[in-house]
Amino acid sequence: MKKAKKLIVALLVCVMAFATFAFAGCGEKEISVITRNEGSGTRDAFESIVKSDAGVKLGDAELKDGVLQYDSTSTVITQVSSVETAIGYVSLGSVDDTIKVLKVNGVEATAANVLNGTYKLQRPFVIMTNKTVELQDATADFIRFLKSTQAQEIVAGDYVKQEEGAVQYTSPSTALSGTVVIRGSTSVDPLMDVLIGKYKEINGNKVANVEFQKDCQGSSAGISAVKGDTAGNVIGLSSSAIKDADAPSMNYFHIALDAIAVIVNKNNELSDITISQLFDIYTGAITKFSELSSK
Amino acid sequence: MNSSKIKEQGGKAIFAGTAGICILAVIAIFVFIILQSIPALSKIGFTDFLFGTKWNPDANDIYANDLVGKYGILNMIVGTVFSTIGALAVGGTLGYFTAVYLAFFCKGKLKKIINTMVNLLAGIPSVIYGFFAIKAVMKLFNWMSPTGNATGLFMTSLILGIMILPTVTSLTKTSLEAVPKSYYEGALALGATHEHAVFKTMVPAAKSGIKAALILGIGRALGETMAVVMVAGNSPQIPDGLFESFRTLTANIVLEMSYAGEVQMGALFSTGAVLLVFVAVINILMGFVKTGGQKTKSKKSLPLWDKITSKINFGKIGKIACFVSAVFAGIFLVSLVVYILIMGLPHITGQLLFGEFEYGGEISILPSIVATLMTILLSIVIAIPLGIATAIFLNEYTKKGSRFISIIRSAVDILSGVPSIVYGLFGAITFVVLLGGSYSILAGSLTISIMLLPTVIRSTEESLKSVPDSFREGSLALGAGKLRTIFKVVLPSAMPGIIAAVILSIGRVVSESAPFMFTMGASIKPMPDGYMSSGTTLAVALYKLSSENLHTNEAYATACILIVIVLALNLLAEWVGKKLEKKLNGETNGIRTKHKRKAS
Amino acid sequence: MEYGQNISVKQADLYYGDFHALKNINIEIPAKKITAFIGPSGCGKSTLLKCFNRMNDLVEGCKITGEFKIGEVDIYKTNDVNALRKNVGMVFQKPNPFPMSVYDNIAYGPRTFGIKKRAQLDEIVERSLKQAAMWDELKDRLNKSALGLSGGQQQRLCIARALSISPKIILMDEPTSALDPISTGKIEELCGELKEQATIVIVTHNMQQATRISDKTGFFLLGDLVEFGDTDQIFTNPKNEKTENYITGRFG
Repeated sequence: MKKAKKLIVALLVCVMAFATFAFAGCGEKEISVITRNEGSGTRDAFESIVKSDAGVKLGDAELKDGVLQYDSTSTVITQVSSVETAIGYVSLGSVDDTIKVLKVNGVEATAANVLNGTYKLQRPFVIMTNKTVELQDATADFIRFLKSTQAQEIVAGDYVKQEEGAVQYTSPSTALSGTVVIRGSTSVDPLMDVLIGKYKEINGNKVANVEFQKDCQGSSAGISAVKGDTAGNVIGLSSSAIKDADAPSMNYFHIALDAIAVIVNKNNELSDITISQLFDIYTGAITKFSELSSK
Repeated sequence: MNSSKIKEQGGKAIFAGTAGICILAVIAIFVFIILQSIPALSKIGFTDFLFGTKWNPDANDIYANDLVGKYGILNMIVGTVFSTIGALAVGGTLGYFTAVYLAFFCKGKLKKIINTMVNLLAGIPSVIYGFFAIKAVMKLFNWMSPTGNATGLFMTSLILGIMILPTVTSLTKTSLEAVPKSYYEGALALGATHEHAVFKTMVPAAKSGIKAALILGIGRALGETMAVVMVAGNSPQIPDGLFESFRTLTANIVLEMSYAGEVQMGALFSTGAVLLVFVAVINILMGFVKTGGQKTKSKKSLPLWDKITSKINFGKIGKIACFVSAVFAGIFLVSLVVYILIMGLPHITGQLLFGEFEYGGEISILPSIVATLMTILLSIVIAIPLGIATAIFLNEYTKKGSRFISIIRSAVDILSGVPSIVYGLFGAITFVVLLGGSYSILAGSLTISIMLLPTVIRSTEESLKSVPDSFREGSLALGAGKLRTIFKVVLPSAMPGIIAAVILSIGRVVSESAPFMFTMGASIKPMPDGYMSSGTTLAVALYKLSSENLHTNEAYATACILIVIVLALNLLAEWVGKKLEKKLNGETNGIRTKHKRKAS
Repeated sequence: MEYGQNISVKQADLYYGDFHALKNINIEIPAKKITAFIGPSGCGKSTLLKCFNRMNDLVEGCKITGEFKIGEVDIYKTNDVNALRKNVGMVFQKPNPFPMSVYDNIAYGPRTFGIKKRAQLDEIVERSLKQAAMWDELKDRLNKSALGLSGGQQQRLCIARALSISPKIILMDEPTSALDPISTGKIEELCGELKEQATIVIVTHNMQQATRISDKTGFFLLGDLVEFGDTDQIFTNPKNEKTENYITGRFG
């Protein structure tokens, strides 16, 4: 019996090896298409901006079978950096030198191009609160800070600032206390860290008793946390524009704009891609990079 | 006299009570998960859910409205089965041969080294496996894939295989070593070679133990989450090639849990329920293996098979396979550890380890270290006494074959097979809700405590069993009561096993992440100021640090620290084990020196 | 009621489940004498021995009827098994020292009954070891693990351990079957000394041993007490034919 088992195992190994070698045969490889997990604000934004020539949103079309889905930016970047045929997209703020960023419709992903609107793959970072409850003092004060010019200075560091309506923030007259619950987008999370740090620095002892409970696991989680807020101390973060369905129940504003960078492997010769090509790649109409250059 | 009687009865009642808690825990897990999934199942439709091939959930779906999303998990069930088979093909084979190698072909220092390596493999957090897989291992295999991207079924099987290897190896080794040496001597006396005696006599004798080891390996592969999410590709389709992306049931939960809408959440709990069914099936299989071992086996074999197999010298091939497996496991471990150390060590800084946490400032994992320690402390305080008491009840107070006992035993078995992500789900709807709805270290600790129970119970029971009955008789014959016998004679003799269980548990708390993400929180946070604060353990912090690609260096450094902790725990376990063994068998020093002086 | 040093058994029966292991046993074991139980394996002699300190209670499905009296106490009517076992010590077939130091092994019994003072314990340890004729051998290694001793030493240590709680009766269940002749000799010698203070009941397979040390001998066969009398009489002039067959080696 043991013999038989061992033989089966040996056979299996052989078959597997053979199959892989057969697959590995020559010819150009297919594109390894990578997306984010459902519920990610980045994906949400990407799918609502990327359209076919006929105007169909990627979000309404069906992704091709076998598109890889990952729940973190770093996995996407790591995969793209080690797979020559990979394509993916991440927040511009997360891009590092292990990968190459493509121009979209001939426009480079830069802050200036995002602000002047020529770079199409952009999305807002949204701060949300519940409309139906009154915000607690500490939460309201922090929101006031988030809308301020000081906050925008920080935003300008790594992201594209959102100028309209920013006013100078001044410390509250009395000390505040309470808990501020922050939920939502993982993309906004790092920015929020810096903002909280600045807020504490400006106010010093006055906010020493304000406790921040920040736990970011995705934009949709932020939206549902804000909807479920009864205490008036939840701040939601979203990394894509608020949907019409959600808009009536909350107060929200854009704190920053972010570019979504389309990334490929460094060895990829491609440097430019169009929105509709992206659509074709993600829906499976285009399966090889050579098809892009020939078009 | 009466007071001692009361004490004895009270002791028994306490032990029985703790055993009852274990049953309650199992019942609670099943009941809560199933209760949560019933509304979704009835909304989606049982067959549509189980046999639907489309998974396209809509977070806005609520029970009151018609469904927009699609909720069919057949592809994920198939994916889970495929990856489990793949893991078994890799890990089962490697683990089996490594065990045979360790038990029969390997001696002295080398044996010790390989043993330690296997134990280390068992302790490495699954997040690190995933991390290593996508950062390094993948590059070796990318060329094989039609898309140039090796993630998918093959990578998942490979990584899962390595992850279940320690389970398979150590259990197989144990059952091989339990085969009486006289069988081997008998075979040699009949003129068999060493290889022949090993593969024809010893291995068949350990058959049921090996089967049990493989089944436990299956359980582990089935329940693995964090590493799988990183390498499976996660598209909800049936993989039709080795390098095709697919999604497992566990990955489905962890991918969508944090943003799921009402119906979607129910569907995720239903996914958990399906996993529980898998666990139950595995346990039933296990029961068959255990009872089937005693039955006389009618050996059916194909004549052709026999002809082919008799031509091959299995002894030699087997020996080579054993060696190759052990070397492979060793190479994998060494490269993993070396890679992580090279990438991480330069980034371990004072600021990272001991710096004060500041929002937006440089990363400090001190809060995570503290949170990890707090979790270890509380879960040990809860799980160890409960586990030991249950084990005492099972081993010292019960009659063989009692119905109650077999129920507790299967409860413990089921608990040990439940995937960690399902514990996470359970914790999220029980402890988190009970504690006011927000994440807390307390909720996480309670969740992991239940998860630790089966390990503690099992290993304590094993070491209680190994205490000879003559010790108990000797103590009773001196007029000692049962409680005194247990606490003064039996437990001290079982101490090495119990300490090993404690260290094993600490290792588990350090390396788990799935049960914490939905109970304790998953953001890097300031220092916790009590058990009601939320927090992240080191493993979760590693996952989080790496995820936005902003703190990759710190992630490597954290991985380093985790590996060092795991290594230290392993060495500690070995050292304590040796020390206690010595104390029990050889010298007991230093306690009565006063008397000694007087006597001489 | 006081535990005495004599044992009186009347109309005792013992069942292991359906198996009738002891059949209508009546026996009077005198105080401060050595009584030997002999008979082939499975005849019930060890079973009867274990009735005297109720170790059979540990066996599942064991049912006992009849009267077992030690002094005035009917031991199966008392609730306090621990007090019984304090008065009736036992030495087992295989030496079973606890995995602790020599000192702790012997102090285990006294500590069980609440003696905590170091001086008192020291005294008991010394006395017990002296009674077991081991003091000189062990006084310098009281702190060493008892498991490091030789088999013979371990068994004598177990006797010393039994003596530590000053039992009125000592039960020995084939105490020398695992030992070499020299150790066996030492233990037999010890038994002779101990009977000055305690009643000894010893189960043995070795008929020479019975003749060497015992005053009374009982012969058991298939659960029956076939014959009980002075050792001299049993071995030189057995009344029962079966006894004669056994001691002359015709079966067993």
